[in-house]
Amino acid sequence: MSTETNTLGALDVEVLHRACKEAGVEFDAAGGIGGGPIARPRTESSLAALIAALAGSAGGAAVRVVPVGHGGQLSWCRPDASLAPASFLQLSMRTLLGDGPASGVVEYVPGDGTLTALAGADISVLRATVAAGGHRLTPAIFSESTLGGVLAAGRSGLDRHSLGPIKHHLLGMRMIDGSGRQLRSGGRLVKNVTGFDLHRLHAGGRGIFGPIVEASMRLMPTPEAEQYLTSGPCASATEAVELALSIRRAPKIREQALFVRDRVVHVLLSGRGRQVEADRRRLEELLVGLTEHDPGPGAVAFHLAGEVAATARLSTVPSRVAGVVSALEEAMGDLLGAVVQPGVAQVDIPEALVSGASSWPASLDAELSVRGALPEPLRASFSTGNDPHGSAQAGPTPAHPTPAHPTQADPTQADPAASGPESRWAQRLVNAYDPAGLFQTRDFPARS
Amino acid sequence: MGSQRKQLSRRHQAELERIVGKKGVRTDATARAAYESDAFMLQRANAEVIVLPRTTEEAAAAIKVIREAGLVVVPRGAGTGLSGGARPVENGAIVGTARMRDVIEVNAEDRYARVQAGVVNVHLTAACADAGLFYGPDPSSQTACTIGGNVGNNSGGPHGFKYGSTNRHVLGLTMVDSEGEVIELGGPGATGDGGLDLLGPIVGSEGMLGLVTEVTVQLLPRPEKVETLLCLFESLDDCCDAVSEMIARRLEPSAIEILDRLTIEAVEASVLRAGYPDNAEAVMLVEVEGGDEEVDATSADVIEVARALGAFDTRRTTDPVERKRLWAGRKGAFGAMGRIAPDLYVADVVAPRTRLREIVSAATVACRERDLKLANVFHAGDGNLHPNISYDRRDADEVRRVLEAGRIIMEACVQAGGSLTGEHGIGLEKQDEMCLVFSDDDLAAMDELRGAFDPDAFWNPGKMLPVRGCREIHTRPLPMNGSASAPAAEGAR
Repeated sequence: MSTETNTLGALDVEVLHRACKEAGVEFDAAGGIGGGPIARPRTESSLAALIAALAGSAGGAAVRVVPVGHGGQLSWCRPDASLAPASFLQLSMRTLLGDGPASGVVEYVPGDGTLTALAGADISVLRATVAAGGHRLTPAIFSESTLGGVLAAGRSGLDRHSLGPIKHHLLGMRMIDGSGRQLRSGGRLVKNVTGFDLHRLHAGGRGIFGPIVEASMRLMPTPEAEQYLTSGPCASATEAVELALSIRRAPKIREQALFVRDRVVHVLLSGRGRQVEADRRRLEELLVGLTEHDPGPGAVAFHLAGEVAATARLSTVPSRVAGVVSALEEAMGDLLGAVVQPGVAQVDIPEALVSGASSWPASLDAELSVRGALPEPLRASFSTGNDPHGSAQAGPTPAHPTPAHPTQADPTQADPAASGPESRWAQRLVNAYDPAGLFQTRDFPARS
Repeated sequence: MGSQRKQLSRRHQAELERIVGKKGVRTDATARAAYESDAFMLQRANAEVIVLPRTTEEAAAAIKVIREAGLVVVPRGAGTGLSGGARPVENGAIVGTARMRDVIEVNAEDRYARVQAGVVNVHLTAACADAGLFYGPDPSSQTACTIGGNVGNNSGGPHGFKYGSTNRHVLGLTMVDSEGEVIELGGPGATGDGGLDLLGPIVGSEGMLGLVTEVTVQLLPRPEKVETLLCLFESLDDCCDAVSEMIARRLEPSAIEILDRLTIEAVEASVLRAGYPDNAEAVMLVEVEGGDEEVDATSADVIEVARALGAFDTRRTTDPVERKRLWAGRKGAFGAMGRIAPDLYVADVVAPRTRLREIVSAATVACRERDLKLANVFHAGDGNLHPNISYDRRDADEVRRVLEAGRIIMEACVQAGGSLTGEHGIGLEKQDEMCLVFSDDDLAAMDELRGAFDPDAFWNPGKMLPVRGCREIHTRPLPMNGSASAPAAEGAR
């Protein structure tokens, strides 16, 4: 057993096996993602019983548990990004779909523009389901993921530029907390302010309050027309970002997605047919060498081009994004593979660039107004303090090999009195919804 | 914090006056009377003191004194809330934002504004108009309600159909907690992805998690073209069906509102006369925004659906003066109903948009059977209904019948898969009805959320969550037609 595993406690397979048996849940000691142990509940009540059993068992204190779908977001959500899969129990949310067509759709109401689906539902299957009814589902993520995974990770796609983050379209949720309570928050309605929004904590909560079981989403109409357009290559990423910002500022262009990758500006126009044509004509005045891509494969290529497996994510405000990119270019060269969304002022930097960077550009600190020292080199995780105009956060780290990981306070061990109100609130929420610490991670939420 | 609530001592009052100035501390009978309720006037209580700070720093210092004095606090904006959320707790303190009215920053390039919590909603949009920007949420009370109040209730408004409620627009908050500590959450550059979203549960928390003193909101670029449409129907049912059909056809105007005949009459007889026709049983007011081509195409589709579903006349205008007049009638409708009776019970329920007609019908029957006067004006595009029942609060039996009808309407909505409130909040009005929607475990989890932010129940205690257990209230979650509760859903899968 590795030292790192021991920091969270060694998994006692016997404890897991017994708890699963009592709850009526199938257990496989090595059948999970990466060869880790996995529990495969077939019903929500058995999943709740398993969680309650683990929370109450003598060995439960040593167990760390992670709900998993396809595992696409696992690097965001596991207890410690440096842990091997063998050191935590995976809870399959896919087996709750049962043996049927496995779409996971609980209710799709085309007349109301809403979708309710199980967390283990494949996001591409859901996208196809609602497309048949003339709707689209945000986030436009095309890599293999489940609804619960993208919600827990708080992932947004390129459509965030026009639609906002995924949490803005989340209507309600059913979930199980760390004591095994089956809970509900929000509903299936496009407008609803009944009660506290517990579901908003789970969106981006990385599973620390227990598994999401089911979620309801607001849908958008499928646009009448779409055009996927790219510029010719610019001289630098900074120049491409400045060009993209000029599109954002143009009052009569309604771009749905806008990003820069490899010195090329990518634009998605969508909406009513004649409006898209009019917007395209205006765009031609701004972009040289405009190329239109086939709307079928072009759509997938467009979105995949924007889905970088980011190791680092920088967020700022639009007016500073060109400065951030300029500083990064200075330190890292051409920024090949990095994706910049100027409208949402977000820069995703892939592992290869991070590994190759020799140092954190000093000018970037000024652009982000980041308080406090950032670990060097950039490949390490970093946090920012509380600057409202910019932040940097570690992106998902690859499962293998294990990257360097900074030492941070264990939230389950944090002394609430020693930190600010935000940390105290987070700690008390954890205490309330996961008193046994089954779903806790050392890395998240960051503690001041 | 102990359970004993104390009276405000002279020393504490003097300390508050030192912090916020004498004008900012009111203990006189006139002020107490003015603050004894919000716009839900069926429930009243006397505050021990009303404190009106001018800045976050003053608010934080005042909170420390109030806490030391052993009082609890009800945060308050303009008091336009319709569910009793800002009603004082007997002998507690009100901390109001009436003197916190500064627009601190409008950033045109990054499209955000930072304002004090007491800024009136419509003043924010006015402040950013020169930059070609506007603020999305536009509650009907927007000429009076404050941004802080909007945060407390997660307020919407007619254009919430396109732009969503307040929680989609808040980027950051400055808050004071029960220890008097100031907290900054989020900000214009904070990513919306992948972080623990503490803003999420705070927006819409009805003042129960802390005092919001400053708000950073996103601003939106003003659309190139705006067109307002008026569709006239001989039947309210047909008008509802036309809205359902527009949603089913996935049309995307920015607002779809319905006014029924009684509302039209009240508006047209008031100073807000909007020019609504007197020969319609129901009027659908639609706004379409966007580029020229987009507006033309969507308006044509809206009119086609309206005519197919029974509209006998349709009108459209892009003239700003005419548009403003039409919207003034809609937004002033609640006030205009003062002509019908001295008091107005504004119900606020939500139904799936496929079932508007049946909920309107249920409300009509509930009121007719109880000899009550019902007018409907509502955000049809969002399924957010406002059955408005006129009454006289001096008539105890009429009050009883009004509340009974209100509960029947809520139950009908919940059974249809709807909910208790779309934008007014639970407050004091609908606490017991929370048991229609949520289980004991759900409500316990919500109370734990409250406790995580406010372990001593210092902020607005006794609101939103049922004071008694659901078993004691003899209410359990209603089965929702067309949807499944957790245990039932398992078998179906």
